[in-house]
Amino acid sequence: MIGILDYNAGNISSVLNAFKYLEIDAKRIETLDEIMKMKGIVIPGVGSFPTAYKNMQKIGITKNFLNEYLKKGKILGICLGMQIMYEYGEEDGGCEGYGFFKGSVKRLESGLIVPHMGWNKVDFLSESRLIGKNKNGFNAYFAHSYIASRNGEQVKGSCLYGEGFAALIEEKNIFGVQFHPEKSGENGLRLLKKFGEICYENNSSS
Amino acid sequence: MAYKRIIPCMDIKDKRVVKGVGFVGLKDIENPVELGEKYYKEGSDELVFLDISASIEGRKTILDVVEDVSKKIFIPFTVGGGISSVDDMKDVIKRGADKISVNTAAFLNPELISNGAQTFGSQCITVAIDVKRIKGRDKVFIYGGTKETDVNPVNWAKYAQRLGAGEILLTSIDKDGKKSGYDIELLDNICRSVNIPVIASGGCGSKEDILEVFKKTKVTGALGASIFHYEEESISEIKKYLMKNEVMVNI
Repeated sequence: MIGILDYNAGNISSVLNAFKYLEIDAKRIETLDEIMKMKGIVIPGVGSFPTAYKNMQKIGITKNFLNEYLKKGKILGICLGMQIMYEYGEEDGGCEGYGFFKGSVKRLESGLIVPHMGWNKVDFLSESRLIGKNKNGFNAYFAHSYIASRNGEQVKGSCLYGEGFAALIEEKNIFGVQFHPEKSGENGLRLLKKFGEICYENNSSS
Repeated sequence: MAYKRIIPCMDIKDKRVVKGVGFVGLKDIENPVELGEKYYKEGSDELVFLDISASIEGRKTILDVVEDVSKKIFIPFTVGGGISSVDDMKDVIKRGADKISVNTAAFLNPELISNGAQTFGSQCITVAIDVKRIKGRDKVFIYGGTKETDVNPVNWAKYAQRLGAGEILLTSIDKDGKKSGYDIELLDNICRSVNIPVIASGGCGSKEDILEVFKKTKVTGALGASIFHYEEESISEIKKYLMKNEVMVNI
């Protein structure tokens, strides 16, 4: 079972609908006990970095807890759900994050139309379990005002909007996407399906 | 850079998709769930669903239809009509909407925009502005185009941005349903005044109209209803045409 974490900061329904359509068992979860029972969890997220991080802490989701969970489980952070996995976010006065991904999350440069809202291309940087060796990249839907650096080995896919930024990131059992796979048509559904497969295959072999 | 967006719009009345001219003379088109799914499969970039009589009739958006549509489409889904509080927004988002379009309620109570943006993020809040030219001056209209206000749309758009709107959906009532092209001058004025995305609406009748609005203004999305409902142009044909004319779109 895949759990979609409801921490008052995300559009749970869209992600649930996508998994339902893919015939992958998924449900809304909101407690630590429920998380521990899941093969994988998806952390969606809209809203602001500090609010999302604080809401997660309120549930009791500490870095230690996530480290424990990641020994077996997988995590996919979407948009803000990916951003809070960085060390720091500048949004709303600034706030620390979980620090699974290196670097900080900063506002898109001024002068651009912000939010970056719409379809854009995800460029391939290096092989990822989520997208394999898809060197052509793919189009996906973005809706955000903050970005993380595209530098670093963890970043597997990038996007260009004014400047390049991280679109897809992966560190061991934790994945992050800046775009919305649940809203990126067939391309996004393919990625969610792959995440589902990763959650199941590694669990059975361990 | 981000691709330009092609966005079919479904105006809903009595749970049916309808379309009129200048906001009146509504004709029945189709079931919204079937039409929404069709547009998704044909390659539209987003879908907008406006419960056009909700504000006038003072009732809530038809949540069950929102839910049924959202289960069939995996692209961004904006819902508007009759949303007048953060709780209303929550209800619609819970049923699968990704963005909320506010119009009359936000005009009467602009805090709705800031409260919504703080709760769900700016990217979630679309401010829809309906405009009609009265004696040579652009005026914001509310209540589904039935009530004139004394407010200039440029000022309202700027204010909405300051309050945290993530996007402006600008409709020309004069052009609505006429299929004679978007109101380029109006859209250009708005685009020059804000730096959030602006979606053009009202007047789209051909792929040439869409090309024109992307070439002559900075809008990031082109919304249409008649052009898609009456199958005058397919979404893929429009996109091919735009690409050929150097407008980047998601294919």
